[in-house]
Amino acid sequence: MDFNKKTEGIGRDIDSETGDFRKATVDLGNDFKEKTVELEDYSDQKDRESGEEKKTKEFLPEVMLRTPDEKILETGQIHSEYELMGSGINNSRYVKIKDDGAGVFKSKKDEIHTGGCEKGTLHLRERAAYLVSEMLGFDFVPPTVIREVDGQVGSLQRFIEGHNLGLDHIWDSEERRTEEFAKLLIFDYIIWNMDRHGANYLVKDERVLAIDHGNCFGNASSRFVQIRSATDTPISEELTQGLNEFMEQEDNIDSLVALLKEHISDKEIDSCVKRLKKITDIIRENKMVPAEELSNLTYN
Amino acid sequence: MKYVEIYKLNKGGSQEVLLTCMLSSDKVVFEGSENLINNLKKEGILDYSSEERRVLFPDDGLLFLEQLKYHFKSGYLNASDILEK
Repeated sequence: MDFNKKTEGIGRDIDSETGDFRKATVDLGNDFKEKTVELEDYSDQKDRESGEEKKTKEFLPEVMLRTPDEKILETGQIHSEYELMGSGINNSRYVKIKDDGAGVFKSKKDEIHTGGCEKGTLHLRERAAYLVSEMLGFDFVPPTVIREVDGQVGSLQRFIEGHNLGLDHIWDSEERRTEEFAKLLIFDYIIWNMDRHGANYLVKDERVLAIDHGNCFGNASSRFVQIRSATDTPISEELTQGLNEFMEQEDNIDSLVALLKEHISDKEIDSCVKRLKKITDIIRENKMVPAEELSNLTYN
Repeated sequence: MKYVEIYKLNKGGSQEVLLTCMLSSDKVVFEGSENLINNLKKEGILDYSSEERRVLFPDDGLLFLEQLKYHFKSGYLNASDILEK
């Protein structure tokens, strides 16, 4: 995991309640742990669970200040945008960014509850899944930000050119396919993805790119979709080591929690961290996810 | 006849109809991408309207057709509402 992705002095974030931008002046230090943020103008926020209002002075690690691609997505000038056919469920749009490619936008306003997740939160879950992917070293969710497009707040995710749809792709080798699916199984467990199938992952250069994460982090009454064929498959040394290193430092977990607080509830974050610890232990011991462990992959 | 179209998003933002799913004698039949047809027949789709999220297959007819728009919503693949012709 490379936390030294940015050197921005000014950060911006979107208040997930109101959709308003908040300014943040960031004091950049050499050690990302020392970065604190004084919010110039922050709104009272309501605790998602209790409804109590609270002011928060938040710790924002450097990675929250956006990668260059995230900045482009968040602040790039929109060249054109139009509603996609078949977008009735989320008003999805194709957004061209001036001189900088394109993205797929999903509006908060037009979200339709699809079981397990609260209406109006799906766009935040898209961003949260991307943050988990980045923080834990999966690096396979395309850059995703929250921004306003044509007066509507929603998620904007980088459009991947030159991809194959998952269900269309013919893999170079079965070994490669199962390796990538094993990563996807682990990731989907951590984020409790209730909606993984052949139409919501892409393949490019023999690597999986995971998309469509509106139905994640949900609750114990829903089930996450397990890729059973990915069990008993050796996990890459890189991912295993990365997860172990991440879990060894309490500050890393604190950073992950701080990032996710903007997007999902404290209960959902707590469960996510528990799942992360559980799956890391399983992988450390077995170097894979054994089929017999599937029944232990519970929400908490 | 009731039917649903599945649209694929291409570079530049254009979309093409990848698959047409039609209700015929209370079952769903298909015209279009063989890969997608095989995927739907083999894997099915989730019933997003039910708590237990059971898996639906083309033989489930109208319910299968209704749930397609919840299954295909990534933008890369989108499903229309039920149309009629």
